[in-house]
Amino acid sequence: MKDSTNQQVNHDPSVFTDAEEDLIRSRFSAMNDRLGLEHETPVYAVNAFQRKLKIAEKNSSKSRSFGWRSIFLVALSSLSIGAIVTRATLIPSFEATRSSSAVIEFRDESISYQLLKLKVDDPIAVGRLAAIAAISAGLAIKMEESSSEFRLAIRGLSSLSPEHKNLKGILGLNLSAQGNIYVILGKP
Amino acid sequence: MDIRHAIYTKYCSKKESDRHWAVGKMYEVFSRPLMAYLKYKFMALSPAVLEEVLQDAFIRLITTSSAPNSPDTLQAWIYKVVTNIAIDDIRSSHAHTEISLEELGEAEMGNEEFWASGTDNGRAAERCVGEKLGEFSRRQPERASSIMLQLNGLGIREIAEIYGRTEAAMKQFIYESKKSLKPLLSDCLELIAEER
Repeated sequence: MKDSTNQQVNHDPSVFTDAEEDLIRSRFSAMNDRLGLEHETPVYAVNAFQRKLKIAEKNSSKSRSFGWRSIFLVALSSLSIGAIVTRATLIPSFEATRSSSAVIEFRDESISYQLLKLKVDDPIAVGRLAAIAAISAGLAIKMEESSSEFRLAIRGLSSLSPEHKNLKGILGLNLSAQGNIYVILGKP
Repeated sequence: MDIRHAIYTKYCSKKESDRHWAVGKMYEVFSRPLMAYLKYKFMALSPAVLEEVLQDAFIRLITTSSAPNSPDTLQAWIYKVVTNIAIDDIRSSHAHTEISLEELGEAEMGNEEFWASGTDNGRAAERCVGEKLGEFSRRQPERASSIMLQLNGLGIREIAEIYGRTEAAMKQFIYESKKSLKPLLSDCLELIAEER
C-alpha cells in the first residue's frame, strides 16, 4: 500500500501479521456493511447532492439574494402541485452576507423532523423557515402588511400534532391569546 | 489529466459553473472515507443524517474562502475542511449524540446476532474477530476508525488530515490503536493459529 506521496507505508508488522490484517480488514468491511457504510458513493446520494448543487448554483446566480418572498412563493407553489416540503436548510456561508439562501427539498413524504430541529440564529431566517414548516404542517398562514412592518401570521398552532410541536420552540415567539403567532419579516 | 488535476483546476477557476462541477466531483470521489470516519465517531447518528451533514459540508466548499495549494494536496485539504465543518455542524445540531455512545448498551454492534446473521460465513475466527471489533469500535471509535481507514488503503497523510494530527502523530496513534486492539483479539488469533 502507498500513501499520497507515493511512499511505502510502514504497517508496523510487529502488531499484526498480514493474514491477521486481512481478516481484520474483511471483518471491518462486514461491519461497515452493517452500519450502512458503502465503499463507493452510492448513486442515490450523488443524485441528491447534484440536486443540492443545482439549487445552490441557482441561488448564487441570483446575486445571492433569496428573499422571503421567493421562499414563500416556492412553498406556495409546492402546495399547488401537492408536494410537501420536507427539508429547508440555510446555507451558512450565505448567512454571513446577511442575504440568506435556502436549500429546499420536496419529497413525497410527511414533513421531516430534522426541519423542525434546525437552529438558526437569524430571526428573519427562522421566520422564513417557519413559513415553510407551517405550510408543510398544514397550518393556515397569512401575510399581513402595515405601515411599519411585514409580518407572517401563522394560525391554529394549538391544533398541531405532537411531532410538529417543536415549531413553537423554533419560533421562540409568544402566542397570542387566540393561539396565533406572528413573525416579523421586514419593513416595507 | 487525472481527476485530481481536473478538480483542482476547475475549483480554482473563476467560473462559478466550474467550481460547482468541481465540488460535485469532490463529493463523488472523496466522501466515503469521511462518511466512515463520522459514522464511527458519532455512532448514534443514522447514516441518513450523517449523509445530510456531509453533503451540506461539501456544499459549503462552494463558498469557502480557502483553497488547496496544489492537486497533490487536494484530497488532504478536502478531508480537513469538510471534517471540520461537519463536526461543527453535528456538535451544534446533534450535541446529544456524542454522549450517547457509551449509553448505547446493547447496541447493535455488541449483539452476537449482529454478527451471526447476514453475510457471516460461520467461521469461528471470523465471528470472533467481528464481535471483538464491534466491542472495540463501540468503546474506542476513533482508534477503530483509524485502523479501518488504513486497512482500507488510505495513506497516513490523508488519515492525519481527517483527524487533524501530524503524520508522525497519526502513525503513532494507529500503532497504539493496533496494540490496544491486539489483546482483545488474542482468543481469535489463537483460533486462526489452530486452523493452520
